[in-house]
Amino acid sequence: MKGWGLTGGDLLVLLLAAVLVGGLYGRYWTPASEAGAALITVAGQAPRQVSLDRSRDLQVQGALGPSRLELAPGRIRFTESPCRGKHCIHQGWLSHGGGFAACLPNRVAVQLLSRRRDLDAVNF
Amino acid sequence: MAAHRQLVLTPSREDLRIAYLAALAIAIHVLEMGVPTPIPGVKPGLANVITVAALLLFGWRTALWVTLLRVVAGSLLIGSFLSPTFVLSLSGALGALAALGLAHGLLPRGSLSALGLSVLAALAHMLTQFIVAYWIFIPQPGLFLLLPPLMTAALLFGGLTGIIAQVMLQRMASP
Repeated sequence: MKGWGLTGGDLLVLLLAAVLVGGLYGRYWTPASEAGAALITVAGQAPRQVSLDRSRDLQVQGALGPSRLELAPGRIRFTESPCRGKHCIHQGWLSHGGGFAACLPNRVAVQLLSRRRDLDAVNF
Repeated sequence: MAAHRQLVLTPSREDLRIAYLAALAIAIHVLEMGVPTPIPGVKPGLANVITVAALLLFGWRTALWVTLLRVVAGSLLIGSFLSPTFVLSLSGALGALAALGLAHGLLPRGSLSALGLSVLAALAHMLTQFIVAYWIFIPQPGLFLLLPPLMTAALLFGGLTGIIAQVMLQRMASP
């Protein structure tokens, strides 16, 4: 390109630089991937990690009785609980990394783990 | 009593040239520190114009000297010598010089103008600084969120300083 004194090499450098920067946005600025796992804590037991790669139901034995959890890709929720308040069920789906639901009477707690933690805690 | 002795250092033409260019680069560097930028850590890097011009006019060795003198003397003037700022500044300068040396040494002469060299240097500068910042100062994965915008700024400012260097060199070539 006459006048500006640009060379083909310049254009190549600019093109590669644009591709590099675009690639960096793609690599580091894409939304956090779906939560990969949840941590389930039942009173008196070590926390147990479950994978959220497919839909399934899970039953855990709490202090009062069985709590049922529904697992789906990237999310988890309580579906049945022997407690009175049912706050854990009303909490609904947990879908953000760091999201937390607990059934205090039954002493079962669920926390969503994500490769990127969006939230430190969720309050209602 | 020791006899009075005199040590005479005769600067060569190249020494003087490097000193002039370094003085110019230091002045630009220090003036630029006084200009506020909206984002901390992002500045145009106008002193890079001198590095690229020195590379194209006098070769890589001169560019290396001019840039290292600018980093060291500039930090002494600003008061950041041996501080983290200095470490980042030096690592960025070395990264940029390495990229310039490779481009200048491996590619046929004239295949890159000041614009291409400047963009290359700016990207290498930012990337090296970022890697050093990550390894030494803030080893936290969240830092990578800053990488895309920082590299965008490097690309834009590299282009800007490249255009300035290009125009300057053209004016120098045609009096």
